[in-house]
Amino acid sequence: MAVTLEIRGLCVSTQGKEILKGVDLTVREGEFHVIMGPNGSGKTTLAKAVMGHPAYKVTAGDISVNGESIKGLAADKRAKLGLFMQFQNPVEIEGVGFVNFLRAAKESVTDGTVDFKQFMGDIKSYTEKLSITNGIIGRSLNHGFSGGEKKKAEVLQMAILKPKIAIFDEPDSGLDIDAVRAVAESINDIAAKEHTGLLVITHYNRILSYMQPQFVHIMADGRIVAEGGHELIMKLEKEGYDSFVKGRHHKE
Amino acid sequence: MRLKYYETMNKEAVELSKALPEEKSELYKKFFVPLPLESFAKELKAAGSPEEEAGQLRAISDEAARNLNIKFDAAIGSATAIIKEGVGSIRVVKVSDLTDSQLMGRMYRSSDDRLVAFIHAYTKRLVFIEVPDGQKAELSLLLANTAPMVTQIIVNIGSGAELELLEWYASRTQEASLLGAIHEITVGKHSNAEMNLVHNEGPATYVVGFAKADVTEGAKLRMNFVYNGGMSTRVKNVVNANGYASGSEIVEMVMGSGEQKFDLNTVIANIGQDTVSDLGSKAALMDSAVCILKGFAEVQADARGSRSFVNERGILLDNRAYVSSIPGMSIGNANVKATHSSATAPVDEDSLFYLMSRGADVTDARKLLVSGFFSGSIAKMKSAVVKGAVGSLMNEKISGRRFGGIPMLNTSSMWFDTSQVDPDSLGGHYKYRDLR
Repeated sequence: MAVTLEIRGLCVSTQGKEILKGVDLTVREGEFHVIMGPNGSGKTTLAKAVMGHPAYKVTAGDISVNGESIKGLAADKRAKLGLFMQFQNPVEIEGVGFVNFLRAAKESVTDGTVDFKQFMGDIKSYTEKLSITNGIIGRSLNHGFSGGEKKKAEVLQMAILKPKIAIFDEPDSGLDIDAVRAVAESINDIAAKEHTGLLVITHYNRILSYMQPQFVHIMADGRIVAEGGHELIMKLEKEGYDSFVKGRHHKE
Repeated sequence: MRLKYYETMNKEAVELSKALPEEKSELYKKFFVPLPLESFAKELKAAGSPEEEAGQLRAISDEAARNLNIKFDAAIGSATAIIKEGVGSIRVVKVSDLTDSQLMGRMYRSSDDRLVAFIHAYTKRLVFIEVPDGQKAELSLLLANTAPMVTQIIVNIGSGAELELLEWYASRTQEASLLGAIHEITVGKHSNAEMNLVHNEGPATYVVGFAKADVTEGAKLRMNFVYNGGMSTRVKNVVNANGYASGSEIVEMVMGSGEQKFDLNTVIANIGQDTVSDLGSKAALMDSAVCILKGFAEVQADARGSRSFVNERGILLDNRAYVSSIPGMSIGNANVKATHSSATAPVDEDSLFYLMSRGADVTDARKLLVSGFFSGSIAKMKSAVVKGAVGSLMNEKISGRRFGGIPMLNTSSMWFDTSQVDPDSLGGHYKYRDLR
């Protein structure tokens, strides 16, 4: 059954401050959405709220998967429903082996055992594809990874876990030009192969020159203020975020 | 007669201990776990039941072999001792068979501590572990009791010798009990020793431990202490790097839950030139568990070119858990490198969320964080069997707050950083999971 993520009238607050003020969004398996917006517009809050971060409280509205509300579910249950979030700043956890962590995560989301040979083969293949030069095997989870390695390692996790809908929170930040391209192409490949629904959050359109989003959403002050296709990216390129923030554009 | 002599020493030491500043100080009392040892004196004098105890020792040994692949070479109880045939390195000697000079020549003096005096006074037998010059030995020892028990373990490692020792402490009595041990360790020149002391006593048992070690020229001693069991634990260890270029590495791992209390007082001393002493203490606590870490490095005047490190870390898995770390140093030579540090923090919510966002439930995520916390220390242990056992104990503790028994081998959430693993000893951490 194809997975659909629906966000309706979502209001979210954290540390007593309301960040999201009524967000509506639907992402279906196989679709490619992009959310763009200035700093502080609520993009990361949206990603964390969807994934169930306990510090982000849903004060109104709903998040559902295939019509079932997931508001009360912990993050692990949401992962098992097929949701995945790539973190803007993945935490470093010393002492937890990356590969074994990933293997357990895979076992957990699939509720089964993993064919270890196949699993290691996939890791090797994606490690090469993503040009993770220092390798992953034998290293602690994100510990001592460079900024670029962390982003690539997140994409590697997506490739192995094969989620139904993946949210990428600034997958391009901190990457050099070659790395942006490698990350974008890998996300494209994996999503095409697995029919993954994508929700990519970004400030810049550089990564989008390697990707073809079907739906573009502009976020400002906790709301989606404009929606459209690739043409919105072109407008942004010319006019910047100011016009959207000032409300000159409206949801189409 | 000799027992009487010990009792006299005990009384004198108790009087002496009243004057010890650490017992008297109001400040220190806040960081001190009291133990009502005297209440066990009567039972310690009694003979106990050798048959009952032998049955329990065998049962625990069988379970350890079955569940964890640990095969004990000797099992020591309060009333009996079983030594596997052909194991010549372990001897159990009655106190009454020792001469006065042997008794008085002990490294740990009764006046060092009133609890030492107490153990001296009530020890009925001494366990000798001896590795002759140039020899290698791998030994494992079970210490378990059905009644309160104190014992002394004398470890003598000859020159150029190697020892890998496991001591597993178990106490399954339902009534309040005591399990105490004094270690006196001498590591001969250019020897190498690793001692793993795993405390997994039941929740009704008070645990007392003392160790004094002398590491001679060019020798290395690594001691891994795992404190998982017991109601209240009080430990005092003194490890002296005496000889030129000798070294000690002391690792303390505390996994506490419920109302457990741990009071660890460890002194590492650089006495000889170019010596290295390293103390790393880690405590992960759940519920209302309390741990006091008092690590102290003493660099003496002749210890030129030495290095000394004290590092204490705590992770709090519940709001009610409490870690007090009090690292200290005394530096008597300017030409040394010495550092100390301490850090305690609750579980990082962002780390927990990250792991859960990948599918780990909250218990597994906590297990992961705790295993990550301890993994560097566990990975350095030589024996894969001991690693598996320690990992299994921790898993069982986090999953169900259980301790005191022999767990099933379960390292499913325990992952060890392979960069720190000796491949010969472990064969890669993947192999680990196949042991299930």
